[in-house]
Amino acid sequence: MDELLHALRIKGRATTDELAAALDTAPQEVEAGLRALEADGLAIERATGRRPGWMISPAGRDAHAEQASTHVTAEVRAEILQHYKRFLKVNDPVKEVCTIWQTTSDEERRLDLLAELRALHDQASPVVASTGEAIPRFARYGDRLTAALERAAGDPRYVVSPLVDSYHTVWFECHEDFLVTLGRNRHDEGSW
Amino acid sequence: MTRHPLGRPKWTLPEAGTSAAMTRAAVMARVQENLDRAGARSWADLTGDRWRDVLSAQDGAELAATIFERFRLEEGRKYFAGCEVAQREAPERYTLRSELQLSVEPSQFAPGVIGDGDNVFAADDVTGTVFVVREVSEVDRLMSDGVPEGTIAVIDDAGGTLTAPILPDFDAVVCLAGSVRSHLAIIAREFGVPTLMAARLTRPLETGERITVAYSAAAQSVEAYFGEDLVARAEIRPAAGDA
Repeated sequence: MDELLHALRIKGRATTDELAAALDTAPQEVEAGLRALEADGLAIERATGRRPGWMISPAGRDAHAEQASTHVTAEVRAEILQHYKRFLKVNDPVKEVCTIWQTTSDEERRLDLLAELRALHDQASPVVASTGEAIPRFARYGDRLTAALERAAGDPRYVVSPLVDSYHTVWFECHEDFLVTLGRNRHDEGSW
Repeated sequence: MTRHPLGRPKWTLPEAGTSAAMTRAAVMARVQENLDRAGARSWADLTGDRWRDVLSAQDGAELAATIFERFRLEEGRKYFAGCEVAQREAPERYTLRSELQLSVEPSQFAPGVIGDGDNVFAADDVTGTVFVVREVSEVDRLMSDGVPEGTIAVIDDAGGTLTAPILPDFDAVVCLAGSVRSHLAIIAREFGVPTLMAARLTRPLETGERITVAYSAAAQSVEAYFGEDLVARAEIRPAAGDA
């Protein structure tokens, strides 16, 4: 499976730097990869607009769907499903902490919320790590979640801001990756 | 008769869904018909080379061909499509869940109100043009062509995830699902895009129609769970002069 195409599918729209951070690769390498995808008609660059960056093309989406449907075996998918069910148990509490964080500016309350997020992270980490043993790219979500949590203590944007690799940004991508890997959609399970 | 060591065999337990129950009943009825026709009195009469008399491949094909129609007649709806392609390839069998969302009786709302929803945060009211985002292809088109100014995105199932990257390009959003604690609501708050979640409508909103949404209403409490409104919901009306 093309990891760059997959990252673009998960993020929807992203800059070269954001993709490089997500893939833990040099931006130059990502840039070359994006140009190759563009030449194949699988990615489109939007240099203008409110959020310039790269997006997957409709042909890229089809190519990705085909790759995604064949790159894991039924056995691996069954195992991932078990991890995903554990992930979902933490999903609602994480979204709740993010929501309350956004709607309060009380410093003490926010310290409590960060502590809650750390406790939830401790529950989620083994799940994401186990998933990473079956599908290595999931391990990167674990690393990015840990990094976001560490930065959040000094920079509040790293809790929920979609403009940085915040805890919620990475969590959302990880959730999306579970859905793509399992061939599910949020509507099936009422998980938005 | 010897009792099954695991207690009640699986086939005696109630089915989880209507379609499963319906399919099982249809198969059982067909087997009974075939048994009657074969004049068999016991299972042993039909074992050996006569087992196909109980349920043939043709029986299976016939039931599979009719069960969708029976489900539609008895449930009053088509199957929910789990993916876009199901509905595209077999529209006679599948529908999108969102298309079947029950509309709310207009009498439940104040005069002129066509819907309401949980406000994600208090902003200014927005008047704009509806764009119903339902399929991946529509999101792709919006991403490549850009979102027209003054667009209020009406998002149902497929949209929730897909529209996140273009969320800041909308003037406002009406989401037919989720809650004020959903991913979409979290991202909308960060981008400052006025958004209603879990919208209820008296009729489906159509792409191109102009509406005014009362985003100046108080934000729905984040403590509110599904079906429980702690704060009055924000109202949706046809734009003035467009009614």
